[in-house]
Parts: sequence; structure tokens; C-alpha cells
Amino acid sequence: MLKLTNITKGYGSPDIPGYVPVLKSLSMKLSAGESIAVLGPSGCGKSTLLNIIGALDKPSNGQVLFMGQDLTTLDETKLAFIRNQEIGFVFQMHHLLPHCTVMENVLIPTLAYPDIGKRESNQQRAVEIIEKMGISECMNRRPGELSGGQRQRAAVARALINSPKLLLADEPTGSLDRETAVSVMNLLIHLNRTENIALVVVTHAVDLANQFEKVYTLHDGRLTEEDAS
Amino acid sequence: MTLFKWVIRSLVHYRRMHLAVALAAATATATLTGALLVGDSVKATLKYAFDSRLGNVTWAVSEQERFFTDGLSRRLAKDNIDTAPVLQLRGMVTRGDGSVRVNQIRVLGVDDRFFSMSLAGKSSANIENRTAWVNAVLASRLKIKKDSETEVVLRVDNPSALSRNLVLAPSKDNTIAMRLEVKGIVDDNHFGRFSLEANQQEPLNLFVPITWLQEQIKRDGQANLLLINNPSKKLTSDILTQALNRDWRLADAGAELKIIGDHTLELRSSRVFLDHSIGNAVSETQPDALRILTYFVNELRLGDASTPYSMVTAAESKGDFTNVIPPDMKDDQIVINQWLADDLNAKVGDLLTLKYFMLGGWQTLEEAQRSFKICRVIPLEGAAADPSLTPDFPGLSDSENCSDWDPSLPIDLDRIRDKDETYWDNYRGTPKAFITLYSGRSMWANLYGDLTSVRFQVASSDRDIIAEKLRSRVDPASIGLSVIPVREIGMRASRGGTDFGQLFLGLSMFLIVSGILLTWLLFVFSIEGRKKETGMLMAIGFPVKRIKKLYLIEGLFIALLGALVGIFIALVYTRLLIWGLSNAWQGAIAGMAVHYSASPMSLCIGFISGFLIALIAMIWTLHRQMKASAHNLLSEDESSAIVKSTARKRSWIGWVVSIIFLACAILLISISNSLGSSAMAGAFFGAGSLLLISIMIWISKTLNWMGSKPQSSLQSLSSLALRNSARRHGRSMAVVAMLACGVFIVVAVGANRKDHGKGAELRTSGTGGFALYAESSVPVVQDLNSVSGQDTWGINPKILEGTEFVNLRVRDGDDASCLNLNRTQEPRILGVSIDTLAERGAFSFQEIENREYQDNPWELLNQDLLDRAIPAIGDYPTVYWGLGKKIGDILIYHNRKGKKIKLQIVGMIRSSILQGNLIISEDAIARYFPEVEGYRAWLIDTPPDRKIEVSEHLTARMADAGLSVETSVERLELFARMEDTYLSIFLILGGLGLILGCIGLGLIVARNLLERQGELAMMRAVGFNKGSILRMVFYEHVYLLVAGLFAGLVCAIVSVMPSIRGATGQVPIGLLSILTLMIGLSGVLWVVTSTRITLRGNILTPLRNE
Repeated sequence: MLKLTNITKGYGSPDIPGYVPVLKSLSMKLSAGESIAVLGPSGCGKSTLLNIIGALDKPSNGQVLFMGQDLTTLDETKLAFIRNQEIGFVFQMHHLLPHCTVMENVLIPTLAYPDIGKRESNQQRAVEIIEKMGISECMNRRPGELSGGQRQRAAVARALINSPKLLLADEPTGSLDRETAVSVMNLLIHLNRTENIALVVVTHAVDLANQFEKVYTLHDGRLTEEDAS
Repeated sequence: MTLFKWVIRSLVHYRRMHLAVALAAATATATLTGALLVGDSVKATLKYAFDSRLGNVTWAVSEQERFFTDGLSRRLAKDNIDTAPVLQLRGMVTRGDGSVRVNQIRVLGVDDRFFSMSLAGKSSANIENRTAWVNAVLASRLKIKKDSETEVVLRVDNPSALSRNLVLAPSKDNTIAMRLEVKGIVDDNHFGRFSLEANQQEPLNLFVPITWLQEQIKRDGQANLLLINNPSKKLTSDILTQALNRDWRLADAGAELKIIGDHTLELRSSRVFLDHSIGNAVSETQPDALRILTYFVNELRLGDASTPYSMVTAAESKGDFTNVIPPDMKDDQIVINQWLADDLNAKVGDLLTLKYFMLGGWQTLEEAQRSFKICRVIPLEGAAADPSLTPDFPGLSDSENCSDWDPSLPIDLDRIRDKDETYWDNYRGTPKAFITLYSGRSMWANLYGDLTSVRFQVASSDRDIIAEKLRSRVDPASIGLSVIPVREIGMRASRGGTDFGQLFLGLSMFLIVSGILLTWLLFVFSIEGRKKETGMLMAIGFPVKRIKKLYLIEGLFIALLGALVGIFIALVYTRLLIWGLSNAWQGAIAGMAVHYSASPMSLCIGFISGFLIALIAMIWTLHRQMKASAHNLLSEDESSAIVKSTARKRSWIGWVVSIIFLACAILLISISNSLGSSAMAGAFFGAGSLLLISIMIWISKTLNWMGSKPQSSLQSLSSLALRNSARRHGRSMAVVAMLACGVFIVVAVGANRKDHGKGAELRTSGTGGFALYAESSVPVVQDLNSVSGQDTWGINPKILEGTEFVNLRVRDGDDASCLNLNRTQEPRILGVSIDTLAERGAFSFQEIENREYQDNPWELLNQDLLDRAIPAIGDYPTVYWGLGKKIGDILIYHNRKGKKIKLQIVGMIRSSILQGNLIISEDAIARYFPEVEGYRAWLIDTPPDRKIEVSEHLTARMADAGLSVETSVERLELFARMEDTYLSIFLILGGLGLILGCIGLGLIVARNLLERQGELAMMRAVGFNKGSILRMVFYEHVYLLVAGLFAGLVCAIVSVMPSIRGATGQVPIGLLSILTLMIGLSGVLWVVTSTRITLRGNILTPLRNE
């Protein structure tokens, strides 16, 4: 489903002093329904890798094949469509709209390409997802009235509304307490297994990462697969 | 680290934001200070105009229609009073080649004494006979270049000894023409702008030698204006009055005590009638004196026989005259001479009828008659054969033959028989009949006197004693010799006029408020941008007060910088405004050239105000911003605010207040019909303002409601945008309020700009329905509606077919129109026959004193008011703005007899072509201002298609009267130019304010987007493309824009409803639509620009920053 080949990414110009290489000829593969955790120290390029995978950023060199399409060759409109329909994002900060209810926040991605015919089904799906996330009692509350864990669950629900094939999570538990973090991570893994959604999670938490099928460490711009055991 | 260091570090670190705040504060300071400096500049310019028009003159004795001798000046000089006699006449001048004619100029006969009172203190050149100098404005009108000699034809008013209002005054030679060489231009320092009228407009002055001008009008050694200065400052008004009382002589009143025999002195007047005050003095001091009144009668009739055009003397039975008037003669008896008895075949006991023109003034040819019983026939000898009993009637006494008589009354020369000519040849004006003084006075006493001569039976050597006795009993003021404190009046006028500082403050208010709002907004952003720092300081234990203090110290520096920079910008901004006033906005100051001036006081006020305004905005911001907890500030979580606002949304108080305001607005509109028109306009403006507040509350509550309806689902990007609009309630309302207020003010004010041509033909319009308005340089005594009047001026009645004149008497005074920036003390008065305006229903009344006169408000001028005040009407701009008066207020005038005359404002007409004047009845002007001669202004009704032809014809035929004709619409537009220019300035400065407001809008948009960068990045991450986000942001703010525009427009339309409904109020819908559209587009532009700039970065940045 996803294949990264010789991905290079740096900040600045390679010819000018001060160039900071982040990813160096990095390659990896991800199959449908597979789950990967990416570990690494701060500033090693984990988020950059995730952004390249999620079509939010483009590599300096290399190829990103997602479901047979080279994302590096697509324009912003097509990339936006892919992000909306095929990829779900969960960030460390939930970025929920404070003036919208949980339900409304979950439905936000459906507004990017509104389809009146799907309005009912979207509503139905949002309710289902929210129930699955275990926050159905919060459906009509605003983010300000939720706990940190509930907000992150709402953010996950928002990522799932368009039934993505790939779910990307950048430090999803970074701002949560331990108990809530475990709960959210378990939720992501549960989704991966029950919904067959490929999952790439960037995290610092090694113990949580161990629940994933594959664990990679990003070091010096390259990925090294860790022993899952 | 010290507090000071901390502040300095902060100032440096946040320098960009601080600079922006300082610049916004500077804008407010500059606008405010600039307005004050414009006020300073206008004041300085008015002071300059005042100084150059009066030079060192402190007092003046101004007679205008009367003349005193230059001996008065010499005698005052002996009392160490520095004087300059001036012979001042009205006139008109034409270039020698006839290419240019300038009417209504002031011809000044002067000498070096005059120029010594100018600012320069000396004459700029020697003015020789038959040469003239002109001031700059007249030179420009005559197209005379500097250092060139130009021939001109000058025509001056030739003052008559006898008031032109009397039927006996000669109708010929009312003006005298002379050819002159203009040698140069007199500048302001040398009295080029000399004028006693409080007006910043440069007068049209032409200077000639006084002695030469005296010769031309045959008034050797006479002047009608005496200027007095006070170089030592020791002179006071009282000392001067005492000196004048001491130094004036009978000759200064036109009176002369002549020796007509060894034991007879005769007091006569060159003005035919002896002044009442002199007559009274005679009665008081010389009871034995013989008082005589001789008058010209049209006919002496006995049955079928009649004698035309004769003199009849009324006298007392005293001295020699006891032989003529028997002591026991009754008032209904008459003595005739033998010649008359023979002519009429009359005898004692017959009834003799006298027919004569009444001396009612205004040359009214109303003939009266009275019959007397002949009690005696006397021979034509002795006292009865004295031709000197008849005064020197101009046009009569000096005629060789009866056929040469030239009184203005219609004399039928065919009636003059040979025997009449022979009588004239032999006896000149010797009276043919004699009646008692009482009878004579009852028929011929008039405003100018009731005696034509007085005879004293004393030794001729006693002449001086008698003269002094008489003189000492007469108040010189009663003969026009009163001291006018022209400098004091001028000072009062120049200080009391419109305060342009305040005016420009008003005009700039929207710009100033925008600057203040921008300062506040930027400071809010500056503090908000530092909320983590604030939170951190709170978290580590800084008390809120101390944090506020730290920020406030920074704010002090910023406010100081802003105010300082603002002052420097103000200096440039003022010059720009003055440049505008000298060019495109000339109409605002009636074409006056404004000189830049900045007083330290205004600069200080501007600086302190700017500083305080900025500081107060900052204190208020800090007070509001420091309410959040450290946790909230550090977590950047705005959800708590949302919860709070949700709580507020439930408040019902706002709705109640909104309904109350709405109800008040409706109430005001519903009662407006019962109010006067100005009150109605005020009521509608008030209703519009109340409605605006109501709608603003309604929008505010709606925004709250939209932001708090969780049950509704988001179905589209636009619905999300709508929800977002309600998000930052305060900011959203700031956008709506700014736009609504901007549109409201711009449209409400702009609606007052009118097309004066529309509806000008209506009687109720500002033109009164008159097509033309005319003024002459010299009085015209004839009624131009009459055949004889038209005939006198050679007017073709065919051209004037369908044309009617409303004649206006003019009592000179200050121009109280908006074209005069001074606060006038004695505005010009127009005397009008009330019926002529009432019949036409001319002009519409804005306010009247007494509602009983509602059906015919012009009748207000016929009222008898308490305290003998004269009812007067003026148009609203004159009364309210020009004079600072209202209905019922009194104005005090001084007539030429030194009497105080009260005028009471009893009505105000709408802005009209009569602006600058007060209107009283013709009867009142005759009674209280007898010095006013003839007509000098006309309202002319003429068919619209012929007004150009009529105008040209009248101008050509009445060139000798210096007639200027203009269309009423032109005149109305001239007055409206100032109002229109103020509106333009307001719109331009208001526009600048709106631009500033729109910059604020742009900043709000940018700030909103910057705060939401993470959220927007998330939206892009979940698949929204840039266009969608741009659209959403655009919708968010367009909703607010539309709400603001709608609220402002609706309320503005309500407030200008009277203008829309009014017959003459033509609301410029096109202009207002364009203005509103421009405001809307400007808002859209700022939203789009701000959004594009904010969203142009990498979408990842905000996510990465997290």
C-alpha cells in the first residue's frame, strides 16, 4: 500500500553551509492493515517522515508510492483529496474547533468535499465512530468541556470519519497522562486490527510502541527495524 | 535584571509590535493635533486679515450718507487725537477699453493721514490727481498687472444733499463718471484691504486723492469717514467722545448759521431739512427764534383756478413775520400773497386747496391735499417777498427756469405758464402762501426734519455765541457723529467666528476614533501575543498588579513615542490640510488664503491628548487582558472563554435593551411629524442612532446564539464559516460596529449634499422661486416694475415681459453668510414689502416664533413686539451659524442717529439666496434706518427661458447703477459651496478613518488566522485545499461585513428620511451607493489580502510548531 524509496529530506540548500539533512535515502514499506511505530529522539525527523507519508510534505528526493500513486508527482489539489479520503491524521495537539461540538468536529473532514447524498450516512458513521471511541456521552459537548483523553479520542474519530486506509498519528499521547495515553494507544491498535487500517505512529514511548507489529527507530536519517520481542 | 532593564529588553524584543502600536497612536495624535493646528492657522489668518484691514485704526466716525467737514479732523488733531478723514463712496469701475467691469467697489478718497494708519505706517506711493491705486483683488479683477499703467473709467455714487428717498430729490446725476489712470497696486501692509466690515474677504478698494474726489462730487473739504488711531494708548472711548462733543461744529451736520441782516441770523441746512435734534435745540435755547418750514406744493387751487408748483411757508408769528402770519391766525387759515390772489382771483374767506406729495419716504408719489381759508392777502414785499425762505431744494433752487427743474417727482412742465416762469425769474422760490408752523409740520414733517430754517433776531456779532449754544445742546451722535469702536468690534467678530479647530476636530472625529481603535487593537494583540509570558510571570508568582505595571511602563514609552511622532506628522498633515483648503477645499473658508500657523498651546494639547488617549486605551486593554488565569494563559486553550460566552448568551438583558432602543426609535419617528423641520431632522437622526444601537445589540446576540446552538449540524463550509464568525465575539462585533458606524456616518452626512438646481423653480425652495437676483452699486430710487422706472433706465418693456421685481432696501452691514468667517455683529438688513413675498409664498420657513402665523409667516414682520423691537427674519444658516442666534434673540443695531435699534428674530427660513441678511419690513427700515436710500437689491421673477436675456439686458441698461445680476441657483450654490466642501472634507477624512478602520479589520483577520494557524493546518491536513480554506475565511468575514453594512445603511436611511421626503432635499443616491460599495469592497480587499498573506506559508509550520 505504501512504499518509500530512497527518501531524502533536508532543511536549507545542500550546497549552502547550514544545510540540515533529516532523512537520508530512507526506504520502507507498509502493507494494508499493518501497524508501525516509529521511535527516535527529538528532532531526528520522525514528524517529517510522517508528514511525507501523509502527503503533507514532499521529500527533497525519492519516491512515495501510495496505493500505486507517486505522491511526489501530484499537485496540491490531488494530494488534498488523498489526505481527505485515504489518510487519517491524529496530532499531539487535538486541533479540535473549540466552538464546535464533538459531533461537529468529527464531521469537519466531510465538509471538504461535501456530498449532500452522503449527509445522512456521514452523520450515522460519525455517531458510530464516536460510540466506538467511547465518548458518545460527549457527542454534543465542546472541546472545552472534555478531558484530554476525550479530546484525543474525538480527534481520532475525526481522522476516521472518511474511512481512511492509512492512519497516521504524530505523538498522539504526548500530552496525555500515562493511563490515558495507554487507553488512546490501545484504541488505535484496536482500530488497526478490527478495521484493517494501516497505522503509523510516531512516539517516544517505547513500551507503547512494542504493541505494534513493527517498530522502527529513526537515527541519523535512516530507519532501523527493532526486534518486536 | 532590574525592572528598567526588563522593560528595555521587552521594548527591543517586541519592537515591531510596539512600533505598530506607536504608529497607530501617532495617527490619532496627528489627526487631533492637525485639526487644532488648522484652527490656529485659520485664527492667525483672520487675525492677519483683521490687522491688515484696520491697520492701527481704533475708532471710526462713519457717516456714509452724510458728510462732515475736514475741520473736525483738524480740531481733533489740536486735542492730540490722530485722525484721518476719508471720503468713501460706492462705485463701479470699467477698464478703459470696456473689456472688464467690476461693480460694487469701494472708492476711497484718502491722503497721507490715511496711509499713516496702515500697518506700514506710510503711503506706498504718492497718489496724484486723476490717478488711482487699487488693491490686489481689484487689480486682479481688472486684469491690471503690477508696474503697469491702466486707464479705467470710474463711476461713483454722487450723494444727494436731500435724501433720495424724498420725492423732491433730484433724479439725475446720481452717479459721476471720471477717467483715471491706475498707477499701481496697494498691498495689505499699506491698507490695500482697508475695510470697516468684519469680513475676511478682501474688499474691492480703489484709492484716489481725497481733495480731488471732493472736487468731483462738489463737496470741498468734506468727508464721511473719520479714522482714529491711538498710538499712545492713552485715548479712551470716553475721552474721544468728549473731544468729539467739544470739537464738532454745526457745519459738520450740514447746518449753517448765516448773517442775513444786521440783526438777523438764519440757520439753514444743506440737507434742506434741519435735523430734528438741531430743531429741538433751537426750541430749548432760543425760544424767540422764528422757525420756518417751506415746502413745494403741486397745486394751489381755488375753484377752477389753480396755480401750479409753488412754495408754501409754514412759520410762527414772530418778529418780522408777525406782518405775514398774524398772531391770531388759526391752523386752518392761510395767508396768500397778492400775486397768487390775482392769479386765482382769490379773496379773504375763500377756501384754498393745497395739493402736495406726501413725504412718506421711498419716493412714494402719494398726493395729499388740504384746504385752508384765506385769512389775509398780503403784498409781495418785506418778509413775504423773501426768496430765502425757500431752502435750496436740489434740482429746483439752482435752476434758471422752471423748465430746468429736476426733482424726481413727475412735474408736468406743460402746466407751467409764462406767468409762472416770470414769477420764478423775478422772485425765484418766494413762497406764495403762508400757514401756521403747526399746520405745516402736520403735513410736511418727515424723518429728516420738520424745519427748513430758523431765524434769530440778534446782532450778527452774536453768531458764534448762538452757534455754540445750539451746538452744545445737540448730541453729535444724533447727526451721525458717533464713535464706533471698530477695533473692538472687529476683534470680537474675528474671535467669535467658527472655531475651525473644533470644526476640524468634528470632521476628523471618525479618523481620530479609528486611530484610537487601531491603537487599542494593536495593543490588545501585543498583550495577547505575550500571554504565555504573562502566564509564566503569574505562574512564578508575579502579582497581577506588578505585571500590569511592567506592561504599563512599556506602554508609557510607546504612548510617548506615538504622541511625539504624531506631533511631527501633524506638522506635515496640517500643511496638507491647508494645501487642501487653499485648493480643492477653498469653499470651506470662503476662498480665504490660509497661512500656516502652529501655536505651542495646540501642540501641547495635541501631544498630551494623544499620549493620554493611547495610555487610556492601554490601561483598559491591560485591565481586560489580565483577568485570565495563569493556567489558561499557558495552555492557550480558548475553550474556557467559549464556555464563559455561552453563559453570557443566556442573558436576556441585551434583548430587552435592544427592544427598548427600537421602541424609542419608533416613538421618535412617530412624534416627528408634530415637530418643526429642524427638530424633525434631529428626531430622525436620533431615531437612526437608536436603531443602530438596537441592531448592533441584535447582531451581537445573534452571533452569541449562532455560536451556542449545538443542536444544529454543520452541513457546509459556509455554515462552518458562519459558526466561525460568532467565535471571537468581541472582534467580530468590532468589525461590525466599525463598518456600521462608518456607513451610518458617511451615508447620513453624505445625504445632506444636495443638487441645488433641482426644484429651484419652486416657491418653497431656497431660491424662493425667483429666477434671478440682482444687486446694484448705487441706490436705485425708481420702482423697476413701473413704466416710469423702466423708462428712466431705458429698459425695454418687451424684453421684460412677464418679469416682476421684488425691490429690496439695503441697510449696509456685515455679511452674515457662511462666506464670512467672522462672527458678525450688525448683519446687513434687507427691507422688503411683506406682501410681495407673502403673495408669492416665497421661501419656506424652518422655524417661526409664533404658530399663529403659520399660514402666512411673512406677517410675522408686521407684529408689534414688546420694547419696540423690530421683527426680523433670517435664513437658518445666517441666524444659527452666522450670528449664533435663535428664535426670540435680540440684535442691537446703531442707526445713523446713534440710536440703539433692536431687532428680534421671529422666524427662520430655510437656507436661501437671502443668506447673510436679516429681513425686516420696508416700513420698519424707513422708520428706523432713514439713512437707507433707494433700492440696492432685487429678487426677480422671470420666465425661465428668458432669464439670460433679461439678465443681460438689465446688466447693460443699468450699468450706471453698477447692476450685477446672477441666477438664483448660482447664488444658492455659492452659499452651498461651503456646506458641500465641509461634507467633502468630512467624507474624505471619514474615508481615511474607514481605511484605518479597514486596516484594523485586516489586522483582526490576520490575528484571527494566526491564532488559528494550527486549526487551519489541521483542516488542510484532513484534506481541505487552500481555496476552500480561503473561501471559508472569506465567508466568515463577509458575513460580518454584510451585517455591518446592512446595519449602517438601514439606520442611515432612517436618519435621512426627512431629506428623502423633503421637496428640496435631493439625496444623492448614486454617490451614497458608490460610497457604501467602496466601503464594502475595501473591507473585502482587506479580508482577502490578510487571508492570503497569512495562509501563504507552509502548511506544516503550525503543525510542526506544536
